[in-house]
Amino acid sequence: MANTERLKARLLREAVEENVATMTGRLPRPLRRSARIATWWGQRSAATLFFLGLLGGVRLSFGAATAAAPVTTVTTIPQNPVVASRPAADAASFPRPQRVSVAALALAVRRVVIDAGHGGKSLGTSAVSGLSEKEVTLDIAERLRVRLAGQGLTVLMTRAGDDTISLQQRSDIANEGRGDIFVSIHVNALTPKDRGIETYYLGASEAPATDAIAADENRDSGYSLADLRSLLDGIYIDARKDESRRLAESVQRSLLRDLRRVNHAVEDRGVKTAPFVVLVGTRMPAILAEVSCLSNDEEAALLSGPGYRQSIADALLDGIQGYLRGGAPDGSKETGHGSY
Amino acid sequence: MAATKTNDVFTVGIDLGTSRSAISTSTGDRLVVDSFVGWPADLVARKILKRKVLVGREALDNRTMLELRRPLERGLIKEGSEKDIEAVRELVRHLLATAAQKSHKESAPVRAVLGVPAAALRTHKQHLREALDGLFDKLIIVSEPFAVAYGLDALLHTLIIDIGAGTTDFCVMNGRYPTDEDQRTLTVAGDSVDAHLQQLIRNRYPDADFSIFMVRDWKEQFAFVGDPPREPVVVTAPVRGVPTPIDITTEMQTACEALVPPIVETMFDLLASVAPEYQERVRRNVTVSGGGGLIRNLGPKIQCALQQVGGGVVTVVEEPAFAGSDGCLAIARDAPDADWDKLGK
Repeated sequence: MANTERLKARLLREAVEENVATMTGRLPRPLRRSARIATWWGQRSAATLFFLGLLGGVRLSFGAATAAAPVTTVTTIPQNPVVASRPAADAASFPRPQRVSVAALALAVRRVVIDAGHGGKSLGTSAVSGLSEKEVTLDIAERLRVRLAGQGLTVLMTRAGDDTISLQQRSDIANEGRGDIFVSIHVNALTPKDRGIETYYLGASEAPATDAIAADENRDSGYSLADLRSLLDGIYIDARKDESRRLAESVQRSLLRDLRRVNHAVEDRGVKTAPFVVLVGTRMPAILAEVSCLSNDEEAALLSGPGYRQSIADALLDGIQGYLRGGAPDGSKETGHGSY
Repeated sequence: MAATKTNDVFTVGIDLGTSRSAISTSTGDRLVVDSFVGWPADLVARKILKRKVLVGREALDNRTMLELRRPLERGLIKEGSEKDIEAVRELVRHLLATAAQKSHKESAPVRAVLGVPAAALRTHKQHLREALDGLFDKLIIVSEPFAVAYGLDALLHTLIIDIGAGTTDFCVMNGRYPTDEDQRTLTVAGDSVDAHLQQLIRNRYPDADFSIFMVRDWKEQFAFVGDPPREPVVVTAPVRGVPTPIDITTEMQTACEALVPPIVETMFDLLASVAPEYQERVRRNVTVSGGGGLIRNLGPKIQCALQQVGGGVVTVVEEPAFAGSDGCLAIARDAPDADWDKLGK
């Protein structure tokens, strides 16, 4: 009995601490998230040290180059013969920065970019009934926008009507709008008997906002701007790819779980990677979700009604929220490369 | 800051639900209302109703004259509109005022513990806190299944499944304040059963005229899973204006049983996350609460599913509608003054 009372007292204390932390905007101390924060700071420190070390190392190496040969060689950017020949190779002696997880930043994601696939002249795929992908994706996107806005998030739509928007324009809108995550909504076209949900993500990107940093730092470092961009790219790509994968897994899982309620035969086509142009251009964690199949008569019938579209929007919201909470769902399968 | 003496205050636990909201008070009173708020739609309605705002069943019964709001969605303030925030305030104000009047505590400072879905983010909780600003002297917001567990003293190696209207919340209690890893929330819950049931009945009786409110009442009266009851489920609905008995036994069974697979899947998922040495103990301590606990045979059905993973015991709480608010009240009563004082005004 005494143990129960002690346990209750501790739980009450933790509940109150969480409330105080919420009221004051602090992250709650007793929660596991704090461990992630520590990890995150560790990772950030490692990344910062890496950059400082890189620059310091460069300077030192210039000074030392006259006296002694560098201990190691640069392996981070081996393709660049100019860099490989430089004594700045000391940078490789620093530990490679680890991935930065936004899970540590519970409130870091504030701006969600929703991309309704196709639009205007681009119909996308169509059902036998004539229902087109562009109509379905816009309606789901709008429903998702309402739900996300209701959660206090800022939402940016790449299109709000039946407009023709190029893939490049879509990623430009996302980048210029400084979105924190990018969710592109599409509907699949497979064989008539196939159906299901699949979610894609991509790793490659251009390094955003590094030009200015690189230009400043490069002045004394001996590195060219391109060299520093390549280094930063390596770090950024890792972080973005990891986050994109996590977002894709969370969304895929929510779509499956929620839609199976109304569409028992829905199939898990997995989390995949593919070179979608719209994902290549975006500078934030980005996914493309094929939320159903218009080529399948049953799913096309479901997609023609508001109920199923709302379920999809709700499931996408759940997936995004799961990602924001830092949930890394298990069991999602990565099944290689898809096609566009 | 001087602490308020515990015996001077009015302590309450509130389960703010999507469909129904309940309050339990330190004076032993309990009250449950439908989570609907309505304002007279025009001057005529105001003249007839003679009220500025109606809450609960009264609002539902007079809905044709009202701008009716069901301000909570999945147990949280819906879409954050000003009207929904106002509706939530009116709902809580009504609960509190009615309970205080019954308890003769109208002028006492109020300490409240409020239960929200397990998946509520900190932004949601803060939003709710801000929306309810001024209604309480002090407020603690906790996860609903945690409140249920606390109220039942089921704090160690237990699994709570709280089936509400908007969400089904799961929480494994490991003897610590639950984290995200210990909790899950499904949107498959009472509302989804209503929508499913409405669709099924409409498919079978396309000429019958009925509303979602009627469907909800039928569900609450007759919901079951597993073997159908001896008497078929027959309700009355107008068909071309003529009140007509319609048999909805099969539809009721189908709609209610659609709840089971996602609940079982999520339960297995959460059980698998428990340290292996404790899994059996958790399986033997599964508790179902919330309005969904009133679905006949649901507990045995979930228990039956547990056979797939080695068996277990599922208990449905005696008064599912009050398990959340009673748990919140237990927290409010047990929290020492020092803890309340940390929360400021």
